[in-house]
Amino acid sequence: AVGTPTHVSEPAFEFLLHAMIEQVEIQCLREYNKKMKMMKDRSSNDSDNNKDAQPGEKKGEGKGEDQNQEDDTKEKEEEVDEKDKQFEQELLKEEEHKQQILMNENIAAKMERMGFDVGFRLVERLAQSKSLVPPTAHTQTPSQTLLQLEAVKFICKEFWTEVFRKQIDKLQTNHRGVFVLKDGSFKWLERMPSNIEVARAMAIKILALPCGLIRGALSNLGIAAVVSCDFMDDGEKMNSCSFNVKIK
Amino acid sequence: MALVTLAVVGKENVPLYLRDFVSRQDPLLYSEGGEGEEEENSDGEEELGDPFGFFESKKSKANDSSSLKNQFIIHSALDRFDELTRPECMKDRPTIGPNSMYIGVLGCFDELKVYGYNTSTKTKFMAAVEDSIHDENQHFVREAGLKALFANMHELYVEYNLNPFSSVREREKISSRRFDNGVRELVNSFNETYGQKGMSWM
Repeated sequence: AVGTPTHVSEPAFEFLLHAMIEQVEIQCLREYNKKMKMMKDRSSNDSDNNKDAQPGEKKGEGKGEDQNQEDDTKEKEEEVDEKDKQFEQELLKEEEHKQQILMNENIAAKMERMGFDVGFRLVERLAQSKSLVPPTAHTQTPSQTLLQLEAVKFICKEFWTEVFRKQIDKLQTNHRGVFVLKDGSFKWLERMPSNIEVARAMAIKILALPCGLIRGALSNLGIAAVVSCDFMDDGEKMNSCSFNVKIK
Repeated sequence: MALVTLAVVGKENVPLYLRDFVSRQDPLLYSEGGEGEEEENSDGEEELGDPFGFFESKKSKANDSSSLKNQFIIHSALDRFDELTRPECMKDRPTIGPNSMYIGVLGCFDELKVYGYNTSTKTKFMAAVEDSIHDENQHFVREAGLKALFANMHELYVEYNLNPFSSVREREKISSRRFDNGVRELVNSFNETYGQKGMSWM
C-alpha cells in the first residue's frame, strides 16, 4: 500500500552502524585499559624493587639493567634510575602504541564477525527461491570455478541490492579463485570527509561489516573465502571501495 | 500413505532435525522400544515418556525423537541424495522455484519411500512416506503434496535461521518450538490429504 514504509532510511542505517561501532569500541577500550593498567602496575612494581637495590630479588623484565650497577655509589644509582625510568617510559609508549593498533584491529574483527552472522542468515532467505545454477549447465557440467562465479554474481546482484539498494559496480576475477568487487559509491561512506586520519580509521571499521557480510554469504553458499577491503581513490572520494575475495 | 519421518540435514551431512510422526493406525511398525508412545507424548511436554532421562528439559523434545530404524533409512538415502545432486546432474533439473530444489524419490526401504529436497544453501530435507503394497502409483499423486510440504518446510527453516539467537555453527540441532509446531501442522495436513482416509476417494 502507498505510504507504508518499505525501507529503512539511510540516516537511520548510518546511525545504527555508528552506535554499533561505539559499543564495540567501548568494549575494546575497556580491555585495552585493563591491559595497559596491568602492564603499568607490573613495571612500577619492578622499578620499586630496583630502588631497593637488593641483588637477589630481581624480577627480570628485560629492562636492560646491569646487576653490577647496584654496587656503585648513590649518585650513579640515581642517574641510572633516571635512565631506567626514561627507558621504561619509552617501552610503555611502544606497548601502548602496539596495543592501540591491536585494539583497532580487534574492533574491526568484531564488526566483521557480526557481518558474518548477518550475511549467513540473510543469504538463507535470499536464496530461498533462487537456484544457483549456471546458465550453461544444460549443455555441459559446470566446473567449480563456474559455480563459484555464479555465487559471487548472486552476491553482486541480489544480495547487494537487498542490503544497499544498488548493485556492485564492477566485478573482476582472475578465474582462479580471486574476485574483486568494486563499489564506486558505497552507501555508508557517502558522508565521510576525505584526507582526515581519524575518518580513515573509522572507515576501516565501517567497511569491516560488509566484508563479513560477503564472507558469511559465501560461507552459507558453501564457499570458504577470505574477504578484505581497500579504498580505491586515495584522498578524493572516500566512498569508492573494493572488496577482495580470495577463495580458500 | 502417512508421512513417517522428517529429517533436516545440513551441509557436510550433519543431522539437524530428525523427527518421527507415528501413524496411529500402524503401531506394529514401531514396536521397538516403545518409541511410539514416547512420540505421542513428546510434543512439548516435559515430564512424561522419558524413562531413561536422556532428554534435557530445555531442548524441545520433538527433535531427535526418530527411531533408530528410521534414522538408518534416512542415512542410507543420503548416498543417493549425494549422487543426485552432483554438478553433472544439474542440467536435468528446472532452474527456478521450488521445482528446482525438489529432488524426488531417493529410494525405497521396506515399505517406506524416501523423498528429498535440496536448498541452494545445501541444506537437505528428507521425508519418508509409507507405501501400501496395494497401490504402487500413489507416488505420483503424492508428489504435488510433497513439493508443497517441502516448500513450506523450507519457509519455516528460513525463518528459524533469521532468528539471530539461533545457531549458525554447523553442528547444532534445530531447537525451536515454532519450527516444531509448524512442522507438525504441515505433516498433519499432508496426512489428512494423502493419508489412508484421503486415498479412499481414488
